[in-house]
Amino acid sequence: MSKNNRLLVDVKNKTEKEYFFELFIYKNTLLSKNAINNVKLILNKYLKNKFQLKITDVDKLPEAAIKEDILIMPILIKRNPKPEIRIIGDFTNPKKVLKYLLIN
Amino acid sequence: MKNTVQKNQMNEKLEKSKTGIFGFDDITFGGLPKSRPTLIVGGIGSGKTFMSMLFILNGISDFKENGVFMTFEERSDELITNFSNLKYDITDYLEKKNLYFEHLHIGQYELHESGKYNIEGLFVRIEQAIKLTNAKRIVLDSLDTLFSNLDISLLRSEFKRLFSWLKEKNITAIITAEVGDVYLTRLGLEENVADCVIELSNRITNQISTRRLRILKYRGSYHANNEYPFILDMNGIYIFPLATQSYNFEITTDRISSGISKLDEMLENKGFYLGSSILISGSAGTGKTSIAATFSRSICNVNKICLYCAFEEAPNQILRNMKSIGIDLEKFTQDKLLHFYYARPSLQNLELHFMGIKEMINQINPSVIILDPITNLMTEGPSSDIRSMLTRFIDYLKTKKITVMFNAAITIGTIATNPSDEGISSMVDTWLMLEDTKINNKRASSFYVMKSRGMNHSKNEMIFLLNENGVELLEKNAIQNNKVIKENKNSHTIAEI
Repeated sequence: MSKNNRLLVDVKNKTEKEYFFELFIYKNTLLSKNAINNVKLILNKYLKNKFQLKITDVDKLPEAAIKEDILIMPILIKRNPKPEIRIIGDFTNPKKVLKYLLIN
Repeated sequence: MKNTVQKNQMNEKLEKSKTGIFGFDDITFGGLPKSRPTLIVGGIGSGKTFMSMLFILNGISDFKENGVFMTFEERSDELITNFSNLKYDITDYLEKKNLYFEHLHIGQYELHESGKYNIEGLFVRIEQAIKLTNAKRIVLDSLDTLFSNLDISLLRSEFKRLFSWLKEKNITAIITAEVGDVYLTRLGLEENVADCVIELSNRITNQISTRRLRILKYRGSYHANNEYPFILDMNGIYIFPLATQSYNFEITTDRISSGISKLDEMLENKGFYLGSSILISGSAGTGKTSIAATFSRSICNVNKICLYCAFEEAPNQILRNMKSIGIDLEKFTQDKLLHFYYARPSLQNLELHFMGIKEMINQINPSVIILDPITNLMTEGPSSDIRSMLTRFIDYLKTKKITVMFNAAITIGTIATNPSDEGISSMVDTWLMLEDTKINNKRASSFYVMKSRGMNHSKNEMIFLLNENGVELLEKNAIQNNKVIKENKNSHTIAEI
């Protein structure tokens, strides 16, 4: 009973998420940690619960980098809503990030 | 002596990776530094990509080393097509995973920047490629395109990281970059991270474009310091070390007839050495083309192929003129034994002519090449570029064992006062000279064998005549005593016997 409920809740949550982001980093370096923290900060502040963030460590999953043609990291890809946008860096400038993501 | 010992010691310590590029492994005493990065620097069109690709393909075809070629440039598919026309079976290499070829787009997507980043993703990509092919050779072409979309302040550290990373992988790497104004590379990156730096250039001096290669640096190895002109054509790159360096041609004692029996007599009764170079010099109208034509006829008569490169008269003219003195070459053209390469010298520079000729050599495989005349190609006067290009051409022909005959027109009576001789006479193995002279108050030609290396040639002066059988050489004494000279309708001087 609880399992089914959880699934339902998840589906409900998913459909409510307006934004879907993927962040690709390489290993758990300082650069990667900064990028993760900064992205989370920005998204949590400006998009609150409306986003989903998937973090991939390319060191563990090299095929992902090949599939996405990723040569520079860290890189944040906004999948939804379209258009797809890519931002490279550790996201130290929130204003720029927002501007690129077309978020007001 | 100490120098040689030092040289050997230095070379022994450093393992090298053969490139298989004609002449390159000689001037580097073995090739590129093994498992180390080499930087090839040059302007656009200088041959960096071509040379790098040859390194990879030769690695597969000749040295059993697989390779990775990563390009960031636009025209990647053209590259593959161009190389598919050479001796390499690229499709096969790709299938068998001997070769990994990829075009990477760094700026394909709109890249927005915010903060720090690095090119670690590229390293991942390269790593995958190396693993897939078990590669021992890699090319990254080119650094400028790779970094062009990135923040310039990051470049220096990333560049260094790339080189260290490659060294760790134990792979022989070539990275190409463009020449800059202040620093060696356009991006101002220090070239001291590379173990070996090679510069390619394609300069125009005196309206002649010459490609040059120079080894700027080669850590831990003795290397040649000079600038070497090289030829880049559809079949590859050819670098010719200086003639004085160790360059062993197979020495032959075979001989070939000149087609003129008296001349053969003057040359130890045997004729020219096979694969040698022969210069015929003389002022206009003295009969140089006739000698060349007679030689061609003699070659074609024994079913060997002759390539006649005409730089003044059109082939039809030559055929007609020679027919009028009894030398019928037309049938040989029909039998495909005699081929013509005809080009107006002013339209192209020397290098392009040689490229065209080499292309024909590859197609028809001649035993003999005639250049008639060579003086038109040297319109700018004495120039060391021309001389060195010519030397290299002769060397190239020697390696192919092709006998070459040059005609050189001289404008004044004697060689000594002629500026356009270019010192060719010192380069060639045999030098024949025609000089204007008078016999019984009529114009005639004197003929001398000025030199012929490796044989005891006649030093006599002969009189050169043209009659209905073609070229004839007569002893001077014979003429003076009882022959009469008269003009014929074609203005050739003919002896009435």
